[in-house]
Amino acid sequence: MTTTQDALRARIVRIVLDSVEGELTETELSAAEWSLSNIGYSSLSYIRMIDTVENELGVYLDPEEDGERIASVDDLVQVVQERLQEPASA
Amino acid sequence: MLISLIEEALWEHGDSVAVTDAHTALGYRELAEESARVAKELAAHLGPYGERARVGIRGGNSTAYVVLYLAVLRAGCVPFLLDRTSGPQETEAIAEDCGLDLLLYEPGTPPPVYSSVVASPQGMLLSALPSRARRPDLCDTTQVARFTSGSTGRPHCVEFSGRAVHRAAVNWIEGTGLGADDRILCFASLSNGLAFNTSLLPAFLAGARLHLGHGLPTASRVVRMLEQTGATRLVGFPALYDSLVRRGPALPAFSGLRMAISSAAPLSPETKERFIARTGVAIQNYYGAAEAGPLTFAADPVTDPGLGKPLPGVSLRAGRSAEEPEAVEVRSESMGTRYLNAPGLLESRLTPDGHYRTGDLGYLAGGSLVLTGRTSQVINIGGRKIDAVEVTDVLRGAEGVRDAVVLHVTDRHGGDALAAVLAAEPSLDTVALRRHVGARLAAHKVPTLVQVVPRIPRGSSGKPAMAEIRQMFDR
Repeated sequence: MTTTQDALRARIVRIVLDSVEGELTETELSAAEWSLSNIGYSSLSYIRMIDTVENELGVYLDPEEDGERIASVDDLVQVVQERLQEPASA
Repeated sequence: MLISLIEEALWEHGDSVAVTDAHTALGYRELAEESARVAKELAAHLGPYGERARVGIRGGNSTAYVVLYLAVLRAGCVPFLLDRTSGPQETEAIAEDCGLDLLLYEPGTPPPVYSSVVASPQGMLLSALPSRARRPDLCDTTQVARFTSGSTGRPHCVEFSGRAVHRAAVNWIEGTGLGADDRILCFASLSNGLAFNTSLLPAFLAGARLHLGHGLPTASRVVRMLEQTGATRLVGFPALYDSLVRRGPALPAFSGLRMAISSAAPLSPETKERFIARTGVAIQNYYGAAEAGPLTFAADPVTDPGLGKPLPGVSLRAGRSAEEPEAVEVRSESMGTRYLNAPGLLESRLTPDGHYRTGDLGYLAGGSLVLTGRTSQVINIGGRKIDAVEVTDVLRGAEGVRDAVVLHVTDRHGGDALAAVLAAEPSLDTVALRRHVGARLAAHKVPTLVQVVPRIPRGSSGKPAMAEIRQMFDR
């Protein structure tokens, strides 16, 4: 993993942790295999997380179309990275 | 008959756009024709069930949902509108309790247990459910059934006459001034009272356009749909408005938007203020009860001290002042008849003169209803009502859990959260616990904050010591 990827992953982990209702540590998230459903990520947490990704990274996530692709940290990193590399739409 | 009144409206508005989702748009005439065609398709599967087959509908917002709802009515069946997030066991409990014959549900969502798919109208699956040796009789007047969270441990099925459903829509139209030039963008699920009573039938009777949002209402999705549809009314839960104001100054002005409707109590004052500052539109707090339909409307949400005055056809009683709040009691033209799966319970909640005890506490200020609290154990999270008893019962059935208390807390974002305190060993697997609850209840009923303790603190009467329990979630 490159430094850029590491930085993006760290940022997304931070957003995921900040968006959850209670206190959650990176260790706990790791123990849950980085899966958002395993940590009981609520729909309100998802909305907060998606809003923050959009506001901070400028990447549009569609909870319907992206669905399963935003269900874990690993998937999120991949989707965000793909979107960042896409040419801006005309 | 309810369907006759709806069809009359559909034909009256002809070629105007009636309903859209992300993929489909149907005009009024097309909606009438399509629902008639699908009703015939359904009829082919109704033979074993006789008249008034009980058809559950479990799905997200879509034009297909609307077509199927109308088709079920047109086929002479009774639609039972289930929460789209109901899990297989929750669905099974409802099917058993209410004696459902068939279930329409979305592909990719958990199928009901012990069922077989017999058709796939409108892209949804139609499953035949096993026949029950005994099931409760429907009231003769019942044409639609919807569900409430209840407060005794399971969803209650409210039976509605066609007249009650029709009057709910007519009174909302009259009370709020809904007209044919309105475009309603609705993100609340159509099975929920917020959408059912403000959007589904009201739109069609008024000749308005109904635009359906589906899935999580993130700011980007809502903004895109507002721009695409030119909506004049926005309907959604508080999370939608919280998300919109998080967009900050980037939130565009929506010149056509005239009304924004949210469900009642949980909307934060900060969100209200920021939304009106950004859009110039004040958020309207919808107040209704699953058992009684829509109840109030504030003509001017900015100056109204509460949730507004009673809608046409509504009689409302509460305390006289903030110092003396009393139980809120309502009677409306849109009252449910009874609970199909809890005989006598709804009747027991009626006063001798037919007012329903809502479980809310409040008072009237200049005729406007101001809520001050609850008299029951229903918890409101993000506008969705959750029965604490139901969740507690499921938690107590989880492996390793000796006792449980479920409560509402304010989370670190200042929002509402569902919390649970569990008496269990410290090694309790909370991931497995959440799976246990998620397999039995809808996702929004899974507690997001969990504390594990050796023993639930209780007072001398044996009741949970709530003050002490709440402190566990203080930061």
